[in-house]
Amino acid sequence: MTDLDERQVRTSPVGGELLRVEGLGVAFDTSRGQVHAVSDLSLSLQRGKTLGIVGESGSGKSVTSKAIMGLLPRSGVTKVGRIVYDGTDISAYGQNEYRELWGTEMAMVFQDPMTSLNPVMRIGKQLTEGLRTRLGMDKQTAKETAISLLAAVRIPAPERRFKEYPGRLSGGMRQRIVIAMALACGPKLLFADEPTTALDVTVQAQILDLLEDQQRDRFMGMVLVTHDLGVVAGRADDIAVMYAGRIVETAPTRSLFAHVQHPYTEALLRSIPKVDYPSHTRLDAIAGRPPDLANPPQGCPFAPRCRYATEMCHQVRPELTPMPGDPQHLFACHHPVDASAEELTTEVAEKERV
Amino acid sequence: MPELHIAPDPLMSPADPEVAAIESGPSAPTKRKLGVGGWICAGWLILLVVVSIFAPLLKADPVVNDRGRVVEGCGTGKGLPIYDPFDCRDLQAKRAQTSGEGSGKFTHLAGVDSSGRDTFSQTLLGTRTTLLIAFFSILAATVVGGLLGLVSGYFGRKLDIVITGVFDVMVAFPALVLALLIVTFFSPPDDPSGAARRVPGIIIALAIVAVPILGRIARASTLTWAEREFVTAARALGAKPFRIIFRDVLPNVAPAMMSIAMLGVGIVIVTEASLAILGLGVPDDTMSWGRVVAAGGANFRTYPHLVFVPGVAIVITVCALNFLGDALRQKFDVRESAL
Amino acid sequence: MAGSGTAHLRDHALLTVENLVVEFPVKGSRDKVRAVSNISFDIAERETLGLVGESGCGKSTTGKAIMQLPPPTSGRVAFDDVEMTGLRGEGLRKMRPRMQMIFQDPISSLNPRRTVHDIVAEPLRIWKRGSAEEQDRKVEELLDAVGIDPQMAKVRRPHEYSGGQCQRISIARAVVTDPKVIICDEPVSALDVSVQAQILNLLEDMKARYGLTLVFIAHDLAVVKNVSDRVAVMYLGKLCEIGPPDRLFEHPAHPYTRALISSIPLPDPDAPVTNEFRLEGELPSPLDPPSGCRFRTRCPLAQELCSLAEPQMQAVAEDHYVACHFPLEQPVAAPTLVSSHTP
Repeated sequence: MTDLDERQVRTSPVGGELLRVEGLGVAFDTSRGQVHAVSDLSLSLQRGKTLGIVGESGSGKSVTSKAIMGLLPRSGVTKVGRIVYDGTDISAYGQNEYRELWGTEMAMVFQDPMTSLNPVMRIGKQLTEGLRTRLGMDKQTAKETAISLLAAVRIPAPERRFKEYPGRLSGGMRQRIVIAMALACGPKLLFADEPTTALDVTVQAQILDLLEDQQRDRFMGMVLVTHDLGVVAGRADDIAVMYAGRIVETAPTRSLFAHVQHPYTEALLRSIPKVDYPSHTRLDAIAGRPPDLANPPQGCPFAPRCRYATEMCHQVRPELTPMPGDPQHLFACHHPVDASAEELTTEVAEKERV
Repeated sequence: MPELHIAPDPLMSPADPEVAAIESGPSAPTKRKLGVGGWICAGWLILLVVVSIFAPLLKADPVVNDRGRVVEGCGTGKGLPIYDPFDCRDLQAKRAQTSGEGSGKFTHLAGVDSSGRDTFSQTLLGTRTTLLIAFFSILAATVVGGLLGLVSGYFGRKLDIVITGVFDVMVAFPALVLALLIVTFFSPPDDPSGAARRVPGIIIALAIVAVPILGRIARASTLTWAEREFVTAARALGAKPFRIIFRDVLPNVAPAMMSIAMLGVGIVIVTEASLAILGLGVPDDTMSWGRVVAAGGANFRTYPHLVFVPGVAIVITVCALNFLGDALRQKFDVRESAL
Repeated sequence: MAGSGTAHLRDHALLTVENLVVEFPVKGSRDKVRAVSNISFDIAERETLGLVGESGCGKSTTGKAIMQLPPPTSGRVAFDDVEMTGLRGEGLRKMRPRMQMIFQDPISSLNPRRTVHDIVAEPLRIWKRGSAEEQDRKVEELLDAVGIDPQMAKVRRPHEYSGGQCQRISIARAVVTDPKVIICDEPVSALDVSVQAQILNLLEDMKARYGLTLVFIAHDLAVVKNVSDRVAVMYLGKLCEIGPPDRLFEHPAHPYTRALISSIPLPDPDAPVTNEFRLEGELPSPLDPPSGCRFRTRCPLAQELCSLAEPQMQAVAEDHYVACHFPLEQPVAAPTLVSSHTP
């Protein structure tokens, strides 16, 4: 086992709780007042598991990852709540403390591969930088490790790439390098924030496969943030659906799709075109827009757009409650849907054609 | 390069919570205010304009001094306390006053120059000419430079190469040398009849010097904006090129130009002073800040404060222009990605 | 892959593109890159053609070339019985109102300094259609049709609207001149998923209401399938396959099409994750494309013939054509069709 592998199998219990978040809230100071990007968010992640966070723009999904990673801007941000990483309470950690965690404990893969790499630094240097400063490796060991990392992420001719600049590489290749950099120091927790959104669909499949393999081999916990339900359906153990800064539904993947509870999840499923729909299927678009987070609504944030909304929904905000048959499946709704994803999409497909 | 299909993840969502099958409206427009700083600067500039209009009204009658030269600013003591001109015929008092020491009265705080003229009143009088020179030269440069830059940036290719080449040549000349050449060309210093052409000459010279700078800004800004999809959309609609340039590109290029133009006004004021120091400033019968600086500069070793008043006026004005230019640019900067 | 061949072209099409080539000079060298290499297709009136492919396939370039923005390097574009190729200057400009375009980035396709009402009215003003009141009325009617409050539009600017709303405004602007064809270049790619459905539904409604013909360019297969009457798949500047969406997706004839379809992650945890048709490798450089069939470097079925000869479009079923030497098995025996198009 290399040094890296030894560090993977560490003090925390095998399959133990890697990350626990309780009541996380993030608010930004803006010219329009305080914007509550994330409110009252709680989640838990085991080692070796993948949590998929699904949401659209403004749902707060990226802010959540950044908040846990400690990557939020330093001023103008109010963060509340409790974050426990591997048994340690890191809620009050400042930049210096977080610096100890970045790379070696937790790492992040970002969305846009074209801007994630330094264009004027050689690839090898970008990879070995972390290895030498954080892990104290000497130049030769670092180089060997970096090359084996490049090979692990399936970059052809890694020795050659080591000396090159990122300039000419395609998005897929760059994203692999970004993943290699993220994994270099052997973190236990990996955040992937829309890692494939900017890539072609054929490359997307490759990259997601790669992430899955790496996660399995290194027994990492992974948080996969995306707007695509299809991406998380096949790759996540648990899914959390976010809307307007809150989790509105969370469940193990199978349970989520088998018993969709929250109308927003239902609405998402009904509005996305599926490749097995007949052509010209009329989609069930969700009318309206997400709420203004500078003035969060009193009741359920989805109520204005919800087809099942009643007066109570506008007044009282529903709390996350477990589903009767499945305590791990939580949803925040007064009038849950309780239908399977299959039923919903079949309904859409069988509607009268345009 | 893969096409980026990113759904933007903003920190704030649009303000309008109204929801119906028809979405009713966008967020409330946030009007950017000019800010306290901006208004102070604007206030200073407005004050300058007021001074340039009214200062000549407070001018006392010209008097011929002992050297036979017509001197303005002297008189019989009418006017504002601080404006109280010194009686030039009293040589002894004049010498005492050159050092700027008051005679117990609240007069000539800024000192008088070697001819006995009050520095402060000179500055007030000179405001008008200075502002005119600065304003008109930059106006001309903005129009000409802007037009050239727009056309060059939009059409590209050969026209662009030619115009950029011309700009490069012009910029290669040291600005002051170029200005000197042009001023001399229009009204040589020895030629007394050319004195009337001097001020227009200065304006033209400074305008020519400023054209390539403003032109390049216009061109750079045009290149960015002309690539935007709404310009392609305008072409797709069948709009003619000049319509697109003036209705679509220009309004977006204008803020950047306005900011640089204000900066340019400040630079021109300083350059005008440089020309005056070099002997090619405004003619004798006109007053400008540069002229005051130049006159005071002759005694700079012994009486440095004579340069002080016009110098401070120039510094404050240039700073005000810069700050205001920036503030205006921010105000008019349309936030495009409100998502 | 398709040197085209024009076997799949039909008579009486509203828009015909034949042997289209678009080349761009490469910066810093005298090479040219062929973004679009000899493709042909046609569109019948009131049809929606979906043009799909990944980055670098040339679909956006094709859309712009049809619009003559800029004109293609070679090839023929015939629209509404008018030969567009070779039209320049005023002649070309006069054709513009009949063919319009919608762009990918909703915000930057609108002039940030003008009010929304002005933006939609601009085409009418350029072409001096009707009096001022008539123009205003038409603008209001269209803004209403796309779901934007016409009164607010008179004072608001694009940045005060969301992405989805801006795209609606773009659609209104495109329709205001009563065009026959609208080319939609990735119109929903930059929008949130829940907004996408709104815009897709809107496009269908506008198409029905105003009798439009659409060219829908996108990389998202599910979206393209949803709106199209016919789908064309492109790869590296060439046309792979063209046919009706339901058949094409269920029984793709081209290996690339099959790989694309199988890469799409389905929102269904029980869906089998097949790696069977997964594509390996990277896109070849368009500067130096593979000989013969351009897809052969990543094709699991490639054989020697594929490197020697470029495949031509051939029929595999009714209205279903593919450019491949070894097309995939089709369930129904493909009748040999007599091409209705005589080149």
